[in-house]
This record gives sequence, C-alpha cells and structure tokens, in this order.
Amino acid sequence: MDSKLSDDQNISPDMPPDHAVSYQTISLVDIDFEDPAFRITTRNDIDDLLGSIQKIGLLQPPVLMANSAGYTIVCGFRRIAACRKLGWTRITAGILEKTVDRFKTVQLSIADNSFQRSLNLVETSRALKLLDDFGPDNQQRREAAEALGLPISRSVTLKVKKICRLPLPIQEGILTDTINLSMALELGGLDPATAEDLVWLFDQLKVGLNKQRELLLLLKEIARREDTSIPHLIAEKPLQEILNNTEMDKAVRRQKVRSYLRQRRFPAITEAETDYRKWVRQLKLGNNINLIPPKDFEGTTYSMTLRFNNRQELSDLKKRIEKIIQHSALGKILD
Amino acid sequence: MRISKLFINRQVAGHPMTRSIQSRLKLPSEAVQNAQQVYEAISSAPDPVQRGKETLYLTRNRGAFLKKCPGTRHYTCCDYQILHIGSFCHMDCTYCVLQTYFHPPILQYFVNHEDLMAELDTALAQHKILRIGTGEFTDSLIWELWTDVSPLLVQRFATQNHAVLELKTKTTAIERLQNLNHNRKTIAAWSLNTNHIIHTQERATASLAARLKAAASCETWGYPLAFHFDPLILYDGCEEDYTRVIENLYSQVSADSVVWISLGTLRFPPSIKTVIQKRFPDSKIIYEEFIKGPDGKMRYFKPLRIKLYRKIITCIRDHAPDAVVYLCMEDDEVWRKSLGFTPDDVGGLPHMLDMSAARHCDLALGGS
Repeated sequence: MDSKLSDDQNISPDMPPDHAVSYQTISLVDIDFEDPAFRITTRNDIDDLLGSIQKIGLLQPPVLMANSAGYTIVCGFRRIAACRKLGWTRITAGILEKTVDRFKTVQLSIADNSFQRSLNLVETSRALKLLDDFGPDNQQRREAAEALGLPISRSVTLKVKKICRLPLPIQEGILTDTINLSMALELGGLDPATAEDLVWLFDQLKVGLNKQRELLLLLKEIARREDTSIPHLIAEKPLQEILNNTEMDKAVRRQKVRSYLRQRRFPAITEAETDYRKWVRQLKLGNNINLIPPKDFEGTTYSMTLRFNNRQELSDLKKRIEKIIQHSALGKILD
Repeated sequence: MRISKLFINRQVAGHPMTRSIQSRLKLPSEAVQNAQQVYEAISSAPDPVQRGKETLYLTRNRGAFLKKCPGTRHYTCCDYQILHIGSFCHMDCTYCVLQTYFHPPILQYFVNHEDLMAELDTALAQHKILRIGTGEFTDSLIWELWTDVSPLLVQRFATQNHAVLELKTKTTAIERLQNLNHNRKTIAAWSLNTNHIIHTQERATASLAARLKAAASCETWGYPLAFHFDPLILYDGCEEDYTRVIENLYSQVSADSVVWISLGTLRFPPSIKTVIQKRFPDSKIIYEEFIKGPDGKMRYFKPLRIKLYRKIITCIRDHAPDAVVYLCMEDDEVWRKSLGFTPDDVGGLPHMLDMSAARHCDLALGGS
C-alpha cells in the first residue's frame, strides 16, 4: 500500500464491508489528543515508532472518528503521538463514516491492538469495559469478546473489568508486575493514597503475593489498633530508614520490614519469642538437639529432637541433656 | 431491638404456648413448613444477623433440651448443662459467637414445654448435683416479655434439692422473679463488664449500674447470685476499669450471696473476625494479640491472659477472700499462675462448683 494516500475518498479494501472508512489527509491540530475514549494501549513510549515512521513513513494510517470539534482517535494513539513529535502538521488517516455504530467502532479499536499482540491486564480491562459500554446485549458483547481474543469466562471478566476503574497507581503496579490482579482488586478497596503507598512499598521490597498479603494485613491491623493510617505508618522513621538503606541486601531488607511490622503488631508475642531464643542460646544445645516450644507458647508441652548416628553419640547427647536439665535457662523456658 | 417479624412452624400453630406468645407479641405471623423458609427470608437481608435479631421463630425442639456445655479436651471444663429453651438474642454484642454459631442465626423459641419439662423431670430424678442454665445459647431473661419460662423453671427447681438453675443475663428483666418461691435453687447471674466495654461492645444491653442494681434486688429476694466476667477484654486501662467493676459489685451485693464468679478472656472462632469487621467496623477488640488455641479458637496470648486474671483475682480476694472464682476454658498452667492452684488440687472443677452450689443453695449431697 502506498504510504501516503491522496485526499480522495478511498474505501479501504482491507476493512470489513460494514466498516466504512475514507482516507483523508487532515491537519493534526484537528485531532483531539486528550480524548482517551477508545484508547486500549497502555504504552506511552514512542521511541520505537519515531525511527520507523521517519525512515519509512506511516504505513498503517490511524483511524479517526469525526466529532463536532474535529476528530477523536479510534486507533493509532502512539502513531499520532510519534507524528506530532516528528513535527508533522498533516497526516493521512482513515475517517470512519458517521453510519458506523459505536459498538463496531470499539471493536475496531480493540482489534487494532489484540490482533497484533497479547493485551496486558489493564488493556484487557479497557477493552472489556468498552464492549460493556457500547455492546447492545450480553450475547453480542460475549461474541465480540471471543472474536477479539478477550476472556469470556464470567468470573474472570467480572474481576478484570474492575481494573481500568482502579486508581492509576494500582494500574501502574499491575503493568510493572509489582502486584497481580488479586492484590490490585484488594488495594482497590482502599483509599487511593493508601493504595498508592502500598504499591510503592511492594515495589521497593519486591515481594510476592503471599508476603504482600501478610504485610498488608499487618499494616491494616496496626493502623486500626493505633488509630492511625497506613500511609502514616509507612512514612514513619523506623520503616523509612530500613527502606532507604540501599546498601542492605534486598532479602535482609524485606525481613527487617516484616520483623518490624510483626513486632509492632504483636509486641508481647515477639518479646516472648526473643526471650525464648535468648534462653535457648544459653542452653547451648548444639547442632544435634532441638527444643521445640508449644505453638505460640499456648500449650505446656515441649518437644525435643535428637540426632545421632551411633550409641556413643547418643550417650554424649544424654550427658548434654543432663546438663540442660540443670541449667537455669531451662527453668526460665518452662516456667 | 424490637421483634418485627414472627414466623410460626405450622406444626405448633395451635400450641397453647404459641397462642400465648402471639397474644403478647401482637404481631401478625407467617406460617412456615420448616426453618429453611425462615433462613431464606433472613439470608436475603443486607445484614442477616441483624434481621435474625428482629425475627422470632416459634417451633418445636425435636432434639434434646438438656445438653452439655460445648467444651474441649484442651482446657478445663466445668460440666455445666445447658437447658436449650431457645437460641440467639435480640441484644447485639460485637463479640457474640452466636453470630456464627447458627447459620443464619435467628431468634428461635421452642414452645413444646411439655417435652422440656419431661426431660427436666428425668434429669432431676437422678438425684445427683446438676448445674443447669438457660443462658448459653440465648440470654435467660430476654424471654420474660413474651413467655413464662423463667417462673416455670424457678418453681420446678424449687421442688427438689439436687440441682440448681442458673439464669444468666445482661438485662434487668427480673420483675417476675420477685414473688416466686425459689427455695434458693435458682441462681440469678449476670454477665459483667466494664462501662467502656458495655458502652462500646454490648449494644442494647443493660448498663453495669442497672445490672448490679438488679442483682442487689435479687439478693434481697433471697436469690443466690453469680457473676461472669466473660469476656474479659483487653484495652488500655482495662485493669483499672475491671478493678472498679469489682469494687462496685461488692458495694452492691454481699460476698456471702455469691455462689461463684467466673472469669474468661475474649475467645472466638476465627470466623467471627470478618463478622465483627463487617457489622461493627469501629470495634477494635479483634486487633489485640491473639493466637489460635489447640481448640481452634482465637485467644489472647497466654501471658496477657494470666496478667489480667491475676489483677482481677487479687481485687476479688481483697473484697471476698473466700469467693469461689473459677476460670472458663483455661489449662492448668493458667489456673496455677492465676489462682495458685489447679482444679485437680481441689477435686476437679465440677466438684468445686458443685460444693459451692451445695453450700449456697442448700443442696443435698449424695443420693437421697
């Protein structure tokens, strides 16, 4: 196809018959760049397009819809942005006929993306929402989704659709793989400032879903008990000192954050655990004896495991156990 | 909280007790085939627990009326017996496990008193010491408005001398207990808590002052008394507040009238947590330091429980050195560190309470 089409009205032979498109060269200033109504792509970078458009030209014209003030972008947000960056003033674009209904229009905008690559979660959410907004009934929406390669399972679509309505920091978190769908929806139930701070925290710590859930629960419950907020807790000096210590190994940093929050949430329990470890160290159990306390120190039964390879080793362990029995630290532990 | 809807199981529509309750309630009723229809009506509400508190279902108890209090082998139990007159309650305590005990929970009353009394007669004929209460799956005295069950039971227990009836309540609905010939076989018992907890966590219950005043009235009518500090709830300043409750208690009633005082810190099945978060979002009681006990219930970390028990027990002993104090669902370590002895040291918890009941309620010991 010639890269620069004339101003003559041309019906593109590649479009389905019920998509009426005429190619025209129009002024870039007539295009509303701010209207994201049909935007699917989450990519804002255009560096990859700048080079190719400059060298080869605009091979695939964007598609626009006429409105009272000019044109709304249906497909080609990044192409148009690249052309603007290159200083173009005019562009050849496909203009949808006024007879093309909105449902067909959104399918076009989705197909322009989904037929070329896999859509990420945010893009899928935007696509499903557009089908919802303009689809005449469930059956047609479902058929269109299936044809466009979008998920059609009700339980999945119900969750995914919510994403594009979530605050932008949460959507960003999905795009950077900091959080997954499940955590995104959970953060969506919080106020935007809190959600943003949590996405930031998870990004700093690079923790997976289970650890994210644990940290979120700790923060929520500390905030409730102390009548404070999660952003306030995250901004506090002790936590910030750990997070800002870039020299610390990442795994150590994660552990320190977790320990700090756990100690804040369960001060008496962590103190008891610390004391227990202190007294056990005093017992000098060695590598072959393990003393196991009751879970959460609730019961009264302790367990001891011994590792030995022969009778002599077992006899040696017996002597060590006798010393342990006499040790004052054992009294502290058991009483 | 008022009853706004009455369901009646068709099988008991003509029962005299049903008619009596209907005439007192003065509410139109809906006949149902079974409880499932009631559950469906309640489950569809935005807050089924709330709806269950406003809905009364009259039916027949097809099972046993007398049940052992649900205990666990991991903690010491007292062999209390529950007389299952009905279930649930129209008051609204945040921590109440009845919110998840029945699915969904509804205010339910069993009208087949003839079966209840027959079963009770069989139990009482055993001539062994029994401690029976109506206030575990419900509040003993919330039924005073619509039924005569408490006077009926009080008068039945009065005619024997081996068992005691405990009426445990957070109300002050004691008027009809006044002129009954109870023969000291009925213990009037109150659940107590601090003013702060009553105000913030025990919606629609009587105030502490009102409960103690009611207890004092019952004392003047000759009833033995009991008090249950359960659940004890930790918060900043709770130790001082509980101390004040005890001082208040002993300023209102005589130590000699108290058969027993039980102490039990807050414990709950994990499922209650989401119920509390949803129904009482301002409540912070679930954000203290809990661990999961071997019986699956969440409990305060043990040292925290012991610390609170010791404080309260010391205060009780200051006012009533001979008070029979026991711990509800705790192990020997907690007993020893809180009370200075374990139940086995005194012949077991059931025996300890039986003896106190015998002393205060003039029970005959041994078979007769």
